[in-house]
Amino acid sequence: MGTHSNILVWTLLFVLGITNPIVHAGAEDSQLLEWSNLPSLPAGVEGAFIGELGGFLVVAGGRTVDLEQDSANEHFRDEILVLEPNAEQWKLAGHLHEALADGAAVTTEHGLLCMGGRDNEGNKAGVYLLTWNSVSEQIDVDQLGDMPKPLAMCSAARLGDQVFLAGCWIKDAEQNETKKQFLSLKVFSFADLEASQWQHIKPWPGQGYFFSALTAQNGKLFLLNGSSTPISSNASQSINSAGGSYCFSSASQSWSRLTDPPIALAASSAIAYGPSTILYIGGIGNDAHLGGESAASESIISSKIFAHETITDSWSYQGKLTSPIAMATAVEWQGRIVVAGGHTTDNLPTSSVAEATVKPWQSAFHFVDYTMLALYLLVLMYIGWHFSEKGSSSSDYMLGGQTVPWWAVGLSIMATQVSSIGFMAIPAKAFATDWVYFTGILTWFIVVPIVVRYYIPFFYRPNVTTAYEYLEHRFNLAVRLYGSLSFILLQLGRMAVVLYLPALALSVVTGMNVYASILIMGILSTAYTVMGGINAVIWTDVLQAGVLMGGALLGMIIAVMGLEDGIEGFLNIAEANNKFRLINWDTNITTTAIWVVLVGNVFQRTSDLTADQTVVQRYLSTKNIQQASRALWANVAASIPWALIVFLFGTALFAFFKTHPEKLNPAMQTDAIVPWFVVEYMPVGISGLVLAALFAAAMSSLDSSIHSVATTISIDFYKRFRSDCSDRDLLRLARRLTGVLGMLGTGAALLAATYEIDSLWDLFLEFAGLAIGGLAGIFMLGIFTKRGNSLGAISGAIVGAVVLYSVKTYTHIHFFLYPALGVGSSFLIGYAVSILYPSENQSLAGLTIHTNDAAHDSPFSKLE
Amino acid sequence: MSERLDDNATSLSRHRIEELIRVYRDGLLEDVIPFWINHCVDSKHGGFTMSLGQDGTVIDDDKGVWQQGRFTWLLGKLHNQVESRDDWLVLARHGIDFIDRYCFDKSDGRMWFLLTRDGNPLRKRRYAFSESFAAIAYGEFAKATGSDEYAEKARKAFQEFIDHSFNGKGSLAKFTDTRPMTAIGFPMIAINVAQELRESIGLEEADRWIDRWIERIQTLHVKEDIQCVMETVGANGELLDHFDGRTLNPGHAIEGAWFIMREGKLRNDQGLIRLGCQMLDWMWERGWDRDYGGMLYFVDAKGLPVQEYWHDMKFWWPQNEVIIATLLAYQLTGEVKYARWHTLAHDWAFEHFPDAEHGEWFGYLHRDGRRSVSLKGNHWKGPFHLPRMQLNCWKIMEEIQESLPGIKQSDNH
Repeated sequence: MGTHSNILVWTLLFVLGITNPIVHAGAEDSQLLEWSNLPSLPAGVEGAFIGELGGFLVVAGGRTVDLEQDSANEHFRDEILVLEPNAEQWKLAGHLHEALADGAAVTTEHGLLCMGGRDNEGNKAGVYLLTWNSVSEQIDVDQLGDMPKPLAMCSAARLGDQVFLAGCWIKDAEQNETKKQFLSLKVFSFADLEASQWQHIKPWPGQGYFFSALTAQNGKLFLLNGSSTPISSNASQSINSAGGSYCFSSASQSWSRLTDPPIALAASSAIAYGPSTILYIGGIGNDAHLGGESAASESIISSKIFAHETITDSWSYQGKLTSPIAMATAVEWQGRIVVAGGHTTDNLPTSSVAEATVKPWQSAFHFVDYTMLALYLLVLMYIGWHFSEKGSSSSDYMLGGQTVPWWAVGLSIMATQVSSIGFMAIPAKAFATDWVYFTGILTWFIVVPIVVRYYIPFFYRPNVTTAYEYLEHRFNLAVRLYGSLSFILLQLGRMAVVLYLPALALSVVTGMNVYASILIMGILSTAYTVMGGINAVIWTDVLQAGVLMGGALLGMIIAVMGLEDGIEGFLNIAEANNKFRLINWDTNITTTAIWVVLVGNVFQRTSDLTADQTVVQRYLSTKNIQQASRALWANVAASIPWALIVFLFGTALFAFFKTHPEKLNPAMQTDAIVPWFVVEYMPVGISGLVLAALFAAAMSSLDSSIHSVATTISIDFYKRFRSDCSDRDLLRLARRLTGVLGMLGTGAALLAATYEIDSLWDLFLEFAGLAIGGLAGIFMLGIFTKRGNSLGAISGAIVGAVVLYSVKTYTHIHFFLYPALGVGSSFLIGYAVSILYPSENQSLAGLTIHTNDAAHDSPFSKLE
Repeated sequence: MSERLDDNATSLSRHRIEELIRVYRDGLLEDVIPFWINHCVDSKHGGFTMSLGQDGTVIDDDKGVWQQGRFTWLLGKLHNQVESRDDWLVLARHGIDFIDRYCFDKSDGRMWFLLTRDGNPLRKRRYAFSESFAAIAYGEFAKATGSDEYAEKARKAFQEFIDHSFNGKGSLAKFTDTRPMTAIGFPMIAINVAQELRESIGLEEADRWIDRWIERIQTLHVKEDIQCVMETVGANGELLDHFDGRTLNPGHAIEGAWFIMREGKLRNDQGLIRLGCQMLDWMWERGWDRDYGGMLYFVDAKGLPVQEYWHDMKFWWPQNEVIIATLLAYQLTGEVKYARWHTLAHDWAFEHFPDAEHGEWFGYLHRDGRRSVSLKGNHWKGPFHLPRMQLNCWKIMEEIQESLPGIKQSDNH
């Protein structure tokens, strides 16, 4: 016991030492960006081709106004200017083939693509590729195939492997006859670039635009306003910028209408920012909101920045530029947003180049929050310490002496299956889309009765600790080892992920050190698991289930309270945006159609409840079969309200941020929406508690993983091959393994946080996922068929993995169906092989539902 | 800067450079050279029988004199430039001996074009390319052996070639004098021979000759107004609006282009590099088949139908020359356009010409890349254009690779 107390004290000291809470002042300011100046261009330029090329910022062509003469004297340029990072001034690096302005430019991997434009004679259809020449240290200009029509005052964006261009072809300038043009150019492989062909695509539904802003974000194109008439640079004319904004999906090749910007503008520059935001900068308009003295007659240049949230389709004001600007270009350069070129208030082209940095932001995570979090962790440690006193046999450690109450086991199964990723991802899904996954809860009522009636009787046997033991009795040792090995592999892979991802999300919203979070979660859960065994795992899970539910519920309530009309407003917003959609009646297997969700869930849950030792071990910890069954139903009773709460939470977040778009952090990943809301918009103290729920979710998954893997190794490998080992040895081994695995998982998470090994990790998980994908099929083969034999089981598992791999690689089937395919193919192939190669007769007594020779209502009488 | 660009596949990526070095080097040393050595050496009568079927069996045992000189040159070149292997030198001597013994017409000192297997003359041609290839063969052999005797033979053959080609000595006209014509082939090959001899035997007057012939090409054949390099022009460079005058051979002009670029590279003369690139640019535009890929054989300067009906076939050698020229242009100018063209030309050629079964390349494909004939060698196709491309591109690629990290690293972000 002494050693355990030591572990407790040591870990607590450690935790208190590294959290070292810092008090944050939750500052709120609508200014998202801070602007500073890059070196000015040698002359004021507007309408230039601007983009990034090989690390340089490039400004090619454009128009200047000769001040010495009449201000109407426009001068088109062909100079290509470049700015090196950290350079003091721009340098001339070549010339365009012709002097041009008001075209569109897009940076591609092959160079800067410059399209269209105009000069004194009119609009042009030429397309040029600018590339950096490392021998001459100049820019080379190559001409590619012309566009179908001459276009100027157009805008372009890159989406996938295509460049899109939106503009207006002036068919007849006198008659004011124009035609909308929406074109795409496939960015071919490096060599075939010159063979690229322009294609006409269905243009947006509204009127034709000049100087619209086209940008790609989140897999879609956004066309934000424009002017219905050409804008000449010097005229103080009225701008017809009353157009609309549209979104183009290249998958469906269709347009949809968006909420318009708060002020009608044209010639603004737009740039994608963060995972789902578009910044809409400057522009020209005649809206009274721009604060002009002579309303509506004269156009006014704006300095405002608006953010368009593409998920909620809402606009927010995000501060101002240092000076008004239109016809400028916003590009990303050196990881920052740069606004160059353009037209400013004195009707002259500007030479200044502005660069934005994101304002440092202070987390609202408070000292009190840290204290709440620490208190919660203390309670967890106490639970581990408490159970370390009870019992000292391997059965106590692994199965809690089979005295754990059913309701605790039920809650624990629920908490284990909610990983921290799930706690963040499910509300984020409901936030970004709708409730189509929710229908999955129905499948509990299909799966649980089957598991209770047909599986538990075979798992719940005297002296049985792992699910895979059944496989040896029914088939042979190889099948058992295959099962436990693939389980071990998958869990080893998962351990790092369940720690690393939430730590990353927490660091984004609280500023908490990623390593500290990983270490706290990893070390604490390892410590209490080593001390308290399955009892500690289950009882901390119970606590964690409570905190999870409470946290999500509180979050939902606070989000709804933040709306103007409370619950009514919440329902209205959600309804208006179709957020409660439950069923997708699509018939396509690549979508989230209802039957995809249902079929997928049935097999996923069957796998979870039958082939996953972390769950099976739980119900083996109850007193008897009836208790085990009750535990499963308790899990259902907890999981359904939980699902309801998290989905509501996600939808409430949608309504909240739809109403307050300025409160969304544009730089944030959608999946971080939950922690962001919790830290920024929940009351001090409550934030700490709800974030504790996040910790809880991660820790309840980790403790189960390490404990069950330790158990599986001890039972399926150590004890299986050394049946003469003493129980003391077994217990000691299991404890040590738990500790080692905990350290291993923590170490792997630290590695993942340090090096970019995501892809390696994905590969590992994919491999392990393939290995275990069909395991539930093997259990089915054993339980439901008499003919199924070991050769069939092994072939089924292997071929099933291959089938699953092929499906993943070569088809677009929705990933929800993967479990169904893995399990189904393993079972069918296993059965087919078993029929083709029948094995020697083996006694199946008490091993299949057909050979449970006792009466059906009491299949265990023989055993008990 | 350069590093960043090269790494993001804007031009030739590091990875592709490494891969192509392997393709060219291993193709040369492990495929092409062994193929010919294994099949063409005539140990009974000496020399090389170059008319080979797909698997390397001799399908005609007559001996083309061009090929004797070309292969001998290649063997000497490999010995001098790649590795001083004895087997290459022994084979080079085998070629030299046959040339010395059988390839000259003792009556006038000129060389034959075609011999029987045992060395009896079958045909002599009006022009003197046999001499040009013998000259470079003698040159490399002289360098390999340090022999003044062969250096002298090289000079003599070179003199014979230029006398015959340019000084009108012994010209045997096929046409009347009504419409005198001059072809780009003579000055082009002369440049190449002079370059080779300057390198192998230190030919003193090479620079002077090369200047003169580059000037000749520039004034007579390079037509700024129509952006074209003419294959055949009138005696004073006038365009001849007839089949012969309009027929362009883009691969040939591009071969000349890289000879000139190479001269510019050696002398560090930007003017020559620009001229070579200009020729390449124009002829790429005219010769590259945008429908099927690959260089066309003949095209008409005015886009009219061409008289020769094999005009749209894909011969192996124009592809070889374009691959060298585009790569050299990329190395010398850094223009990404040339890297792109090189990738296009290389990928198309390597997709269609190599024989996966027996090695080496097929020589003659239809326009769409289907094989026309299966032979590996005849009196024109032998171990020359393909191995020369492999050798040159291997070396250029290595130079590009070496220049990658060190050019300029002012901004490491």
